[in-house]
Amino acid sequence: MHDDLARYAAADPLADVCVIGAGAAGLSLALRLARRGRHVLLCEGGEQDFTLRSQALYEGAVAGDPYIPLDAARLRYFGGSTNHWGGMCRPLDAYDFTAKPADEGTAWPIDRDALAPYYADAAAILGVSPIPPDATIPGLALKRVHFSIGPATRLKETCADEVARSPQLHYCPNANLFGLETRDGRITAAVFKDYTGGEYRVRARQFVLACGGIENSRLLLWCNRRSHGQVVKQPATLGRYWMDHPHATLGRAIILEPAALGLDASQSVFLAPSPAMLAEHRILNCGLRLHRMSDTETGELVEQLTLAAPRLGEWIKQRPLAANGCCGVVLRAAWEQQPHPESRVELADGDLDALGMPRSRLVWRKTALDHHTVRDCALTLGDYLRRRDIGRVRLDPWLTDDTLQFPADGELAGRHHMGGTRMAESPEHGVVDRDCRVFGQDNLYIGGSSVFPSSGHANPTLTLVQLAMRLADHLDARLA
Amino acid sequence: MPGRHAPPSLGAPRTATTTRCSPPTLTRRQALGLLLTPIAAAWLAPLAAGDGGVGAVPRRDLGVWVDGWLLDSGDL
Repeated sequence: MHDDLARYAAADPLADVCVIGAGAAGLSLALRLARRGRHVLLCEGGEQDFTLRSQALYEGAVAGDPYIPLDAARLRYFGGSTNHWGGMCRPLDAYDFTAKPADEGTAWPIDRDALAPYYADAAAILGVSPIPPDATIPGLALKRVHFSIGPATRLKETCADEVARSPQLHYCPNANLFGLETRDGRITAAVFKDYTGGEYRVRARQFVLACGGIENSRLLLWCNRRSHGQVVKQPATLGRYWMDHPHATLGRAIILEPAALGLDASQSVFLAPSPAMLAEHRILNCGLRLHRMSDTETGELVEQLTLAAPRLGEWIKQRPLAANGCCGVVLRAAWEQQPHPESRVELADGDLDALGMPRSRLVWRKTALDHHTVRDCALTLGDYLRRRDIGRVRLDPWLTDDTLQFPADGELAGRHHMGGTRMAESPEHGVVDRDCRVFGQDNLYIGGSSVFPSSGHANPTLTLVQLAMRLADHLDARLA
Repeated sequence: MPGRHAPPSLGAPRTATTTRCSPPTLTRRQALGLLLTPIAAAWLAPLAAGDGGVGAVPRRDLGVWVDGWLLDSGDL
């Protein structure tokens, strides 16, 4: 049911679970618990629809590598960033949960089997269609992979009725978290603030922070400061190991036998390294994306090829494109960013938002391993095409020298905010344990992709909803 | 060059004389820098060994880089 935070706080009930944030993770978790009869308080900082006032709280500074403006990379209202996502889904690979040879810091404390029981429920919430299995391509270390591709499910629309009708779920918009009160390793109250300076305290047995992959870090950093370090008692990694999936255009390619890569039947084909390639090439995971060009664009690319390779170019031009199926492709990539402590979310002291909280400052840092990963995958594809004589790759300049540059414009990243409150075996290495519980707090949990220790190359939404389902079951068991 | 691509030639007209190797057009200093890194070694070692790197198909030459294109010597 819809509620008003001031009225709710005045009544001072003890909720079973206070879920802070009504995006993909928070909504999934809150509804699952409410269906089981738990008294859930769902607090959303934004309103039912987009408002400039709420969205402005997402403004922040960007340092390090060029990145998308922070208020353009996410949405602050009911449904969260599912209001503008593209709907691409794919589960992480089993080996994404392991220590990869290129960087053992990619290991999760849990394996994929821990999330498998929640796949069906998460897929149903997000409208995920069946995803074909990966397929090997003879002679190529990259394999063909698939995604569920839209239409994007808007949780604002699919969850609104149930949120409104559920007697167990108290949904309060305009509830801006401003503090967490703690005593003896337990959160005793969450403090919310409105735009007029009013503060409201709510009590719950369990608290879940599910405000997104930047805001989870920012809010915990702020709450920890207000509590003089009593919320996150070992904060060395708080805000750190922040990741996105870097996106970039790598170049173009002429494909002489599109069927060899599946481009005869699909407009776009996705490739990713096999586990053996990850080990042998010492790279992280990477999704190569081949998008077919039009015949006109293909013809222009053949002309460019002819300048560099007259014999091959003239030979191709003698063949009618429509008859032989030759096509040009744009070669793009979205890859697994190396988890690194210097890539981080900070509090921008001296730059306060309308509520008086320091804004976010994102320091995004990619590494030499990031460059090596995407370059190696592109070269592997180019080498395969050349060796088989079924195509040629032309790489963009940023990949053909060794200066470790990345494109400074274009898409840059997938707006997949991950890390910052990473899951780990111990508080020295992360913020939450394998149950997503904040180390040192008995009843504070984190929902969302901020707990990812590493990211694979797949879009994160499906995985973060699986984690939310799992967390709901954990909390339900604790409340029993 | 009709027939060039049927069946896949696996580099049929190629010789080992084209050795402007990938990665492309590096200066000596850059090449030395690359060779000193494990990352570069992982990529270059298979090329030097001539075993085709990651696949089962034997490598016939190391390729030619022209204006960003990864080409075969017979393409030029």
